[in-house]
Amino acid sequence: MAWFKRRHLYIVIGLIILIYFSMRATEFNLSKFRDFRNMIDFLSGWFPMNMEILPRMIMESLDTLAMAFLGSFLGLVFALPLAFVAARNTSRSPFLYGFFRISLSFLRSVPEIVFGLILLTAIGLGPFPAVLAIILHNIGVLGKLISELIEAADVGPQEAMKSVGAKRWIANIFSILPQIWPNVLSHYFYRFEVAIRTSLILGFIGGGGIGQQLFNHFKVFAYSSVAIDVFLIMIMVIMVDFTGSKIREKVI
Amino acid sequence: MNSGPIIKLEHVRVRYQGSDEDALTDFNLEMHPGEFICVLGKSGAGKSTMIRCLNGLQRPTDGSVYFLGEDITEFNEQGLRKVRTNMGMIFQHFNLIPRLSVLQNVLTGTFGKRNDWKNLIGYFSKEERDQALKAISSVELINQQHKRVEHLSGGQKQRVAIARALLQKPKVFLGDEPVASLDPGTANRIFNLIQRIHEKHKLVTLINVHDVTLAKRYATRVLALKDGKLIYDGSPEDVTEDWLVKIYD
Ligand SMILES: Nc1ncnc2c1ncn2[C@@H]1O[C@H](COP(=O)(O)OP(=O)(O)O)[C@@H](O)[C@H]1O
Ligand SMILES: [Mg+2]
Repeated sequence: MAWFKRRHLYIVIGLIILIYFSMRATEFNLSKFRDFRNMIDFLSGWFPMNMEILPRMIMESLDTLAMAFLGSFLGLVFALPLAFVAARNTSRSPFLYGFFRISLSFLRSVPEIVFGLILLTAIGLGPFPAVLAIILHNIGVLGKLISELIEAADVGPQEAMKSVGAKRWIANIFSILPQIWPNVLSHYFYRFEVAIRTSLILGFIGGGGIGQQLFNHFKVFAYSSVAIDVFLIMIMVIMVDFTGSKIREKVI
Repeated sequence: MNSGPIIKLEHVRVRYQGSDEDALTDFNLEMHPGEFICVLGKSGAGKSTMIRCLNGLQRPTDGSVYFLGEDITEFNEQGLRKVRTNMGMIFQHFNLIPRLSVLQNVLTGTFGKRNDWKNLIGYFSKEERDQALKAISSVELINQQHKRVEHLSGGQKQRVAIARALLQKPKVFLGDEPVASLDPGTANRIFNLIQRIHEKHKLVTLINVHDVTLAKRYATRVLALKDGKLIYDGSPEDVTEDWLVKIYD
C-alpha cells in the first residue's frame, strides 16, 4: 500500500457517508426500475418521428442556437475587459480588484433561470430576456475563468512590454492576451455548449426556441414531435462541440 | 553635457517587501558613454535588482538613480515610461510575445513612443515598418520576418528581442543574463552581435553574465556583485583567479 496514507482512508469513509446521505435525500433506489416496461412503452411512442414538423422545428432550433450564441458571445465581450480589472496582477487597485471579483461571483451565483424569471416580469415573454439572462450569468463565469488565466500568465512578456515604455493597458493586452487566447476560446466554446442547454430550460418558461416547443409537445403528449425536438437538440450540441474543437485546433 | 555620466546610481538600497535583508546595499555607480559593462555575480547577488533599478522597473528603497542628470526616483509612472523608451532591454527567457510574428514582435519596440490606439489596431507608417525591417536585417532574420516566434531557436529568439530593443532607438542597452539559456557558441554570437550594435549606435551597454570568459572578451569594464554589494569595479584584465574565487566562492 505504498501510495496510501491513513488520511486517504478517512477521505474514503467520508465520501461513503456523503454518498449514503445524498442517496437518502434523492430517494436513489434502483429497485424502482420495476416499472421499466412503462419506460419502453413510453419511448416506443416516440417513433416514427413526426417528420411533418421538421422544417418548422429546424427554424426553432436556429432560434435556440442564436440565443445561445448571443448570450455566450456577448457574455465573453463583457467578461474579457472585466477579467483584467478582476485579476490581481492587472487590476488598478486592491479595492477595484475586490469589488469586481465580488461582482463577478454574484453574477455567477445567480442561475440563468432566476435572471430569466426576474427579467420576464420587466420585458415579458420571449427570447430576449432569455438572452439577457445567459449574458449575465456568462459574464460571471467567463470573467472569473479568464481572470484566473490572466493571473497565471507568464510575467516575462509583461516585463518586456513595460521595458519598452508601453502604457499599462497596452502592455497588459499585448503581453497577456496572446498567451491566454487558446484557453479563452476553450472556455468560450464550452460555455456556448452549456448555453444551448440553458436556452432549452429558459424555453420552458417562455423563452422561445426549440426548448419551448419541446415543453409544449410534452404537455400535449405529442411524443413523435418530442422525438424530433430531442433529435435536433442532439445534432445542435454535437455541431457546436465539433466546430469548437476545429477552431481550437486552428488556434493552438 | 556629453562628458557626464549617462546613468548614475547614488547610495541605492533595495529591500524587497517581507525580506529582512537588503538585495542591494549602498550601491554607487556611474555609467559613461561608450562603456560596455559586464556584471558578474552568483545568483542572488543582486544583479537583476540592480539592472531593474536602472530603467525604473524597481524603485529603490533609498538613494537616487540619475538618467541624463535627472533623478528618476522622483518620476511618476509616466516619467518612468519615458525613461524606459530610451533603454532597450533583453532577458534570459527572451520575453517575446507568443503567437506574434518576428516583425510584429519587433514593432512592439515602438510602443512607448506612439499613440495607444494606433498600437492597439496595429497601424504603422511606412517609415516605421521600414525601420523594423532594417532592425530585423541587422540581426539577420529578414527571411524569418513572418514566422511566429515560437518556431524559432533560442538564439534566433534573442535576436528578435535585440531587434525589438533596437527599434526603441535606445541610448542604453541592458541585458539580464541574455545568454544564460543558450549554448556557448550561440552565446558568443549573441555577444558579438551586441558588441557590433553597441559600437554602431554608440550605446552604453550593461549586461549581466555568468560566463567570465564572455565578460573578459567583450567588456570594457567589469563589475562584480556579492550579497548586494559592489566588490569589483575595474578592467576585465584585472579580474584574476583570486577575484573569481571571491566572487563565486
Ligand atoms: N521580487 C522579489 N521579492 C523578494 N525578494 C526578491 C525579489 N527579487 C529578488 N529577491 C531577492 O533579492 C536578492 C537579489 O536577487 P536578484 O537581484 O534576482 O539576484 P541575481 O539577479 O543576481 O540572481 C536575492 O536574495 C533574491 O532572493
Ligand atoms: Mg537575476
